[in-house]
Amino acid sequence: MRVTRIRFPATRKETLMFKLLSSGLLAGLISGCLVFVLHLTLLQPLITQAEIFEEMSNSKSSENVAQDDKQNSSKPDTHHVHDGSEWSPHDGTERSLYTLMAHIITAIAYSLLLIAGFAIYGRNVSLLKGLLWGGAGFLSFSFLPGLGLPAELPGATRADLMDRQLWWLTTAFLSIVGFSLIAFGKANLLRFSGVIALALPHIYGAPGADSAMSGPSSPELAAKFVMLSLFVSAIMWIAISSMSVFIYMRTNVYRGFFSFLGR
Amino acid sequence: MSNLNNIAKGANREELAQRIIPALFGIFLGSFLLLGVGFADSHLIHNAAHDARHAHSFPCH
Repeated sequence: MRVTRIRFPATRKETLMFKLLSSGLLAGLISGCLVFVLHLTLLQPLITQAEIFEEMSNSKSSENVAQDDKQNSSKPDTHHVHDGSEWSPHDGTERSLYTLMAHIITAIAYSLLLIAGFAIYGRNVSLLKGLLWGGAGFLSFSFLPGLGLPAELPGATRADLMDRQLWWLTTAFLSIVGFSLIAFGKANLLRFSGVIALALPHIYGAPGADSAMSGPSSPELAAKFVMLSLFVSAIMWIAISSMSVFIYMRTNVYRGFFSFLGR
Repeated sequence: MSNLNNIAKGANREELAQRIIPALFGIFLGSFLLLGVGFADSHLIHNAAHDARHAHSFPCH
């Protein structure tokens, strides 16, 4: 059953802005906290392990510091948590609190983008459809960029940072454009160009894709990290999209859930 | 009921201009936060968000 609500047109613009921002903040806050719990239980142990490997290889290389002094000075920002020369949170509670903050901000950012999409769409979004939107978000922001640039453990060496960031952002943007064209394109040509937009960054290729990836951690650890970070991202997008539907669409949680089960 | 829906649909189209401003603001704010937490080239932000950046497969280091 679909409930149509009629709002007062005079206040619509104002309330939409407020509704968009408040529901983005709330959906992000809840999802970010959930991601943080998963991060601490699943991902942080792997990051800690990787940093032990990284420190081992760092101390090895610092023994030969006289030899590759030039190398070190040529890339001065192997910026890292343990550098000591600059501020970084202390291990333990402080570091976890900053991780919590970063996860909440990330989840708020994704929620705002998703709800802005809902606002442009303008119609009611059911829980099932909302989860489809969330699936597109997962593919655009986690899976497809990860296809070329899989999640890295600390210490892994890859291509130039700027190149990778640019490729990541381009891939995410083109993926959103692609999914929008496929979902909302009226003509077949538009839908087809959506598929092209999805494929384009991968045909072009991620920076450093042709060179061997290396790092001090074991390949098994890195593989586990990639799998688990994708899993956490998937859970995050399920949380973000369902929370956004419940809060922004003001769907009754129980009715939304049962109508979802009834399908 | 379907009549009501049609009216609502027509109203939605007219309101697109009104909806687009909050939506664009949401996209702007969301992108700003995402770029800030995941991509900003500041050592302070990098070190604070370090573990989360790795978790979200944002290019790091």
